[in-house]
Amino acid sequence: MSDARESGVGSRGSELGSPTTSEAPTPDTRQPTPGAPNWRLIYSAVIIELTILIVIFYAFTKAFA
Amino acid sequence: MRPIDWIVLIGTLVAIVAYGTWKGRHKKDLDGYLLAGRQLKWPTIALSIMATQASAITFLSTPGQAYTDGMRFVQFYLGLPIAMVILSITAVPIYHRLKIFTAYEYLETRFGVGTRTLTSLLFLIQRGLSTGITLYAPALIVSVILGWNIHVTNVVVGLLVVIYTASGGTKAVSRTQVHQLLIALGGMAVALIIAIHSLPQDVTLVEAFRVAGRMGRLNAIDFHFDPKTQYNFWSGLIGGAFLALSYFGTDQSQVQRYLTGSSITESRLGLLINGMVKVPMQFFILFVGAMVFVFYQFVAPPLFFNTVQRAKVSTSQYAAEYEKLEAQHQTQFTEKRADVQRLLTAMRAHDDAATASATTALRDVQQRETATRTAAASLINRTQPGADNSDTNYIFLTFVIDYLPAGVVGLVLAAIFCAAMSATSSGLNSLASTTVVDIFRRLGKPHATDAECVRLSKLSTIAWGLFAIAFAEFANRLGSLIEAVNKLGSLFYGTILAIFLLAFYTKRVSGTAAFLGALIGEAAVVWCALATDLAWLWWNVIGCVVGVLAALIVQRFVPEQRTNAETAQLSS
Repeated sequence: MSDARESGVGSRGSELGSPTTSEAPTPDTRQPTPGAPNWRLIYSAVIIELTILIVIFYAFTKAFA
Repeated sequence: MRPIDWIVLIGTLVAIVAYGTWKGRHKKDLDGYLLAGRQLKWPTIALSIMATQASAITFLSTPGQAYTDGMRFVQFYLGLPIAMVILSITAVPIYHRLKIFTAYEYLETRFGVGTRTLTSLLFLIQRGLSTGITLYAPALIVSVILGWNIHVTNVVVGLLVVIYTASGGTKAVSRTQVHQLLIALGGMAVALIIAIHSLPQDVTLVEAFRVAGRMGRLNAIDFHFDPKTQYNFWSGLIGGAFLALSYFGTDQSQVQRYLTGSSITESRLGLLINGMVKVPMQFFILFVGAMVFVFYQFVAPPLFFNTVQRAKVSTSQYAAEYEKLEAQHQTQFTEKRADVQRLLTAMRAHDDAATASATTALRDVQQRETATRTAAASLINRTQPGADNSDTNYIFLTFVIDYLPAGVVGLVLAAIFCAAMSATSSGLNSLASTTVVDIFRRLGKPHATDAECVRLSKLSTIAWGLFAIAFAEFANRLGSLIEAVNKLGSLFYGTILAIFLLAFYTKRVSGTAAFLGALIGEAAVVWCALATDLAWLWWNVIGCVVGVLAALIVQRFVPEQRTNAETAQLSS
């Protein structure tokens, strides 16, 4: 890596290797997930937490309005 | 400021600078200097991401927003967790696999050097100016409240940041940000505890909530859709998601934070933890402001919190008029305090009719008080045409200086300066990366060695630091600073996001079409900003949607071009 950088490789996007037309974003299931069976569960947890926060904030607004 | 406050403040700042310089002392190659050797773990990444976004403006201006406008500003962050999930799925794996230094490098693989250079330049302009505001905000506010020299404060804080950012690079920035954010949040927590503790002894916490709520300060969620309202659920969720997608997915100051991850997993977790913690954190900071508001229902606040403007109007031809407004404000405060007491008594007695009557009276006097404050602001404007007639940014620090005990004032000031330093350092760090990687090494000297690039990165950090300090000297008249930073960003973020979405999700759009689409999207945003009343969060949506659609339409009329990537595929 550092050798490649020394010679200036990597300064041009076109020299970065893997073409990006085939880099269409897809859920990466190969990456290890910490403490959960898969990434979808972790993403769902983030969205569920957001939903709970919105409900709490709404209740908070209504309770003291 | 008492001696103990100075000791706490100077001790904290010196310790942070020394720690940052020591952490980044080892000699590095470009990867080590700009991306901390891609070795960081998710807790550091998450805190670094949060510290980059949470500048001093967050800690000074946000409580003031809650004081003047209630907690509805929290809705601005509702789209952020959604953006974190989308970026974890899309951008993180792509950036990691390509082993890039900057987000803009990726664009060249898809659209060519023109689009890469355009987005790099848009970033350099926007981030360069924002970093100046980030530095300017605390300097302005402490100079007004404490009478410090704003120029000296700007220069001292700016140079402290430049020292460890230039010498240690990204590793120093990320490591110090962890401590800076913890100090900043600690300072806010202490301020909150003291604000609540300073309420009259017979007022319980729930009663404080009720007073704030009935006076419209706990309005965290508003589902009413109005495109001209800055903060409601829909603008926060949709406009905020677009803004967050663009900020975290394409702004090098944030992308650089998670490019330092040792794996895709670490980078993703850093972003997702940010998504989970950011909304409650902002709620907490706004809540501090709401409690300061309740505190000032029992203790008379000044008519106008900016002491410098107050002094100027008091010695102007409008002095008598201002004095009359102050007397009026004092009468209204006395009336309001009596109404608050009446409300509390009615609520304790569970007397609904009396509670409703006291609430109506309270809202009435509050409206009159707001009108008096508006009249004072207008008088200040007449005294000094073009002067900052908003005192939102001064409310929290006035409370801190006037009512917090010795030592705690120093801690809160240290917290504010830590926040300013953390956001400024990542701004400078990312500006240096883009300058060296996307401009110097791409357009100037493609075969520059690592040693040359590291040396230039350090020089570039110093140069951008000096630019930020210079801009900070001129960054007045911006109203609420947290709005100013986000409005400035919203002028460009939608367009930049459009380019990245085209890169991620379309296969046939050429560099020319993307470039023209971006220019059309940017023109639409500028038109919205100059010629319409559309709330600025929607500028992000307009820039992105117009940019994408324009590129798709242009693509139909220009001959299909092969991207660099396609050409590379064919030739291999």
